[in-house]
Amino acid sequence: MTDHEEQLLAASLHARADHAAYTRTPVGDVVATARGIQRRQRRRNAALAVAAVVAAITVPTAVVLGTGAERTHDPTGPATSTTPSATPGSSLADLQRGADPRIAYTDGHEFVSPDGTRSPLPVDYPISAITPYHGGFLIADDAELEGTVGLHLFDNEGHQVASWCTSGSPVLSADQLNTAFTTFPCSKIHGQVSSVIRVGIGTGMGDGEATQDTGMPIRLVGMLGERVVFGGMFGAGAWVTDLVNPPEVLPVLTSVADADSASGLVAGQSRDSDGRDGAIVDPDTGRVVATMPGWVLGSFSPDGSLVLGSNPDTGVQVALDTATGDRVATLGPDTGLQVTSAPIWEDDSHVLLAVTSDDEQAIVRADLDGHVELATPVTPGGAPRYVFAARP
Amino acid sequence: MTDFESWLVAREPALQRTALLLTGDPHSAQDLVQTTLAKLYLAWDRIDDHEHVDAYARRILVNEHRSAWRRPWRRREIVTDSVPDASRPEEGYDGAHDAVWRFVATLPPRQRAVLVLRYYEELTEAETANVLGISVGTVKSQASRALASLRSQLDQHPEIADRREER
Repeated sequence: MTDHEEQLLAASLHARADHAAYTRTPVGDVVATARGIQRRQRRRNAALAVAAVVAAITVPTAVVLGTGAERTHDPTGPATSTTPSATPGSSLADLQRGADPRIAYTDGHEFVSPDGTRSPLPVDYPISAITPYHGGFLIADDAELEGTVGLHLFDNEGHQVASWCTSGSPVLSADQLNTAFTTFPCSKIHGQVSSVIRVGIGTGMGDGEATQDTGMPIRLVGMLGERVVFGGMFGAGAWVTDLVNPPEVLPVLTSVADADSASGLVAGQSRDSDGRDGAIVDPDTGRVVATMPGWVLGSFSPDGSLVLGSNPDTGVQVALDTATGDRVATLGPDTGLQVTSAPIWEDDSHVLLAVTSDDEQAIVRADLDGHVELATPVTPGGAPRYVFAARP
Repeated sequence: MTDFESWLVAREPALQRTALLLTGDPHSAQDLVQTTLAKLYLAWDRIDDHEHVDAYARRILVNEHRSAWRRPWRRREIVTDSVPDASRPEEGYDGAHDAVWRFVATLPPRQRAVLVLRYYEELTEAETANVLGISVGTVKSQASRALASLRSQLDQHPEIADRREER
């Protein structure tokens, strides 16, 4: 303590807390609550493992999807007449079936390539993230514990060769040649977590791997060339590192959501607004390219021209112009479809989401005109089965 | 009695006290502690170093509070300047402490958590940063801003200023 204010503050906190009456929690109540948590985790394991870490700041888990209410388009036009829109209480089966996803994903314990090829995965636990690495796979399990999950490395023959704990999901470089991820020993989960960033060959074989111990718990959000952009494990802070020099703080952001290699920009929440406003920032100069008041930003579109935004109060998802901050499209107000994965861009005008409704689940595709269609058949509900593979 | 039950008997009161300071009202604190204990119960077998259970429980508590505060339904609650009803401590409490607490209760959740961990739990800046998952620099800046605001409040409240003069 160095001054009177600190002493008075400490004394006031002690006076407030130390003499208050408290009610003991019966062990039975603890166990009952624990079982409830386990049930919810089983139902939402994909959402918890991916969204709780990746999207606690960037994407509300209760995001809902539908057509843009304020969009004006011809209601008799071919798109809307042949593509039923999701409406409150509607079932997934009411949606028209569109093309299969054009990006890789997992369906249960199968890896589905963009060409539709299915390959069995050598795991028997639910998956929360997956990405190619050194000719094999990095697979994150769903054993979520305070924002961390287990991460397992498999070689190209399906043999597990390493396991760690991690937070967040692996990220890919724009050319998809490099994969970056974080690890820390699971034995440190209750102590001082120091995440190690690892960057290696995403596709093909190779032994090279660059590492950097960051000294703090972090989650990665993207790569800018060979640099890695990351935030704190629980969302706070923004840094960029070349893995050689110490990480540099991005002081204008309170949190960071994504990085776009094409433009060299990052998306996050502005410090000036105490995190309320989204901001597109040049990490090298600190220049704020655009601000998006009230929007919590997500991922950039592949060409970097758009960025996803969500309203933390309503869950409404929008696409925003990264140059101007203007809203380009609304992906939807509340329509009863609950998203169980972080939204992912399929191309520059379509977003894929794993959703559930009325004990059903599927991957749906939303476009910038407000249309929604099925990208997979509708399957029974239960534990979320679809997880998108990492992509730039 | 299991190891978990033994730990619960010994350490729950400390969690309750910290939870009260984080939430500001006893009902929310009770809910927060129960959820924290449940998560700790689920993780108990994974904790191989039981010397650090207290630190781990504290981290769950703080992060659960932060998560709860971020939930959309929580954000729609009406925010006021007044402190919620709470069971009032019977001793060791006076007007100066009450005024300081009212100031603490108006702080954003993360800033309040920094103060609670630094000045009640008496964690170091590094330990506080580790629990909150933020940088040491952020801990310093958050605490510094809060203390500057408190200093400003002291100048406006004679009852607290008097206490300062007594020292």
